[in-house]
Amino acid sequence: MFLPVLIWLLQDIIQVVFMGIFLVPELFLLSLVFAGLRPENEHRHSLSWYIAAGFVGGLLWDLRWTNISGLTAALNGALLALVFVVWHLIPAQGRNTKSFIACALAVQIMSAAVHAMFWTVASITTLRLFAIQQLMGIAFIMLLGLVYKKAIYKHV
Amino acid sequence: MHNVVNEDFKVAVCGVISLALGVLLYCVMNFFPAVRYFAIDSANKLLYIPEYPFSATRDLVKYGSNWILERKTLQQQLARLEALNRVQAEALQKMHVSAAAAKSSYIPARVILRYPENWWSEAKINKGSADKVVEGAAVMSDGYLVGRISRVSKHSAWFELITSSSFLIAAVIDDTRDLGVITGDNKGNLNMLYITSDRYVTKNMRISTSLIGDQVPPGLMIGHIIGREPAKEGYVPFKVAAGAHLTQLYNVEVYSEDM
Repeated sequence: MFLPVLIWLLQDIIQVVFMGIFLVPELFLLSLVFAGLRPENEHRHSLSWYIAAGFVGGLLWDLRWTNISGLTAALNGALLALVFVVWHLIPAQGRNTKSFIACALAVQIMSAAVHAMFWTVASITTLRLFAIQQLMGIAFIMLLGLVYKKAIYKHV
Repeated sequence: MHNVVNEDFKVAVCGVISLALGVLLYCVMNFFPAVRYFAIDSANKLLYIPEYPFSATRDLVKYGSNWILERKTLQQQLARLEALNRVQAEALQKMHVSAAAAKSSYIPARVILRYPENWWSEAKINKGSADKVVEGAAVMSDGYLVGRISRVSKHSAWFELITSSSFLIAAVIDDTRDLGVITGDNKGNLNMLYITSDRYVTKNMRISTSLIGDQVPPGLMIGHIIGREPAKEGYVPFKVAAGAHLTQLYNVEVYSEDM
């Protein structure tokens, strides 16, 4: 449970340092998605803990950055539960790097879309911040995809 | 198979509980703003320790580069103002009038938090009561009023932006001396209310604060008229453009009575 705390802090510090330049992507949520879906976790240990960690991390994020206390917390918990259930509805042969990337992308898009609905800002500046956040999120998902691919080879 | 179904059920239940708890928290925090502010302040205090080295480094880099760029301009401005001051002091001396000492100053502050959801309502600055920031004080940017301090803690303060719908401030149209009230709509727009329809008010007329209290002195520039809306019950609401760049609010000055 130490690693999620570190990733949360990393996300928070990136936001602090680059405030006004871009919005940090959901590194914490995507890392929990990876932790739950990784090939080594085929017996599905700790999934409830990942959801709880997502909720607590989301709540702390809300209190620090979003001012809608409970939004990110609820969203993290619900999206993690959804992706964990959907992942195990996919036949074992289909659980590969591509489907992992698709799941992570879906989580990112859903999280970003719900957050964007609560924004009251509609300027070019904020749209730019949002676009950079999404592009960086995709880059991070690709990185997780690579790690996932390596993990599959190791696991086989 | 049984275990898989059980595990799926457990995960789904966790998700539903998260969702319900999140909604419950949202409602509680909205119904009890004091609880929300306490939780927000506690979280900010807790995170201040790990964040500090990084925010300090960022500020150092940012202000270092800004300082080099601004120094030359400020020196030129200072030289010009000193020359002007000398001329005015001489004129006052000739008229046998002694110049009064300045009674107020501005505290420079940095915007450290502005929630996207409350973008046009409030923001947090890094100066508080320890720096003599008081509730109700005017907040300026680029020489224009951008808000008023609403809550103060020791090392930080929140200010309500002029674009907030709950922000009301007495203002005067400089060219006609008509008095009205400036208010926002939480969407970035400003309106000037209570100007009677028979008044001759045109575009680009400048608006500044009227005498409303110690912490917001009269004569602070707010913006200018950009249009008018249909009259209602004898009054015309005027659209106003803020003078300050409200979407890029990074550094502000807080008005202070203490020197």
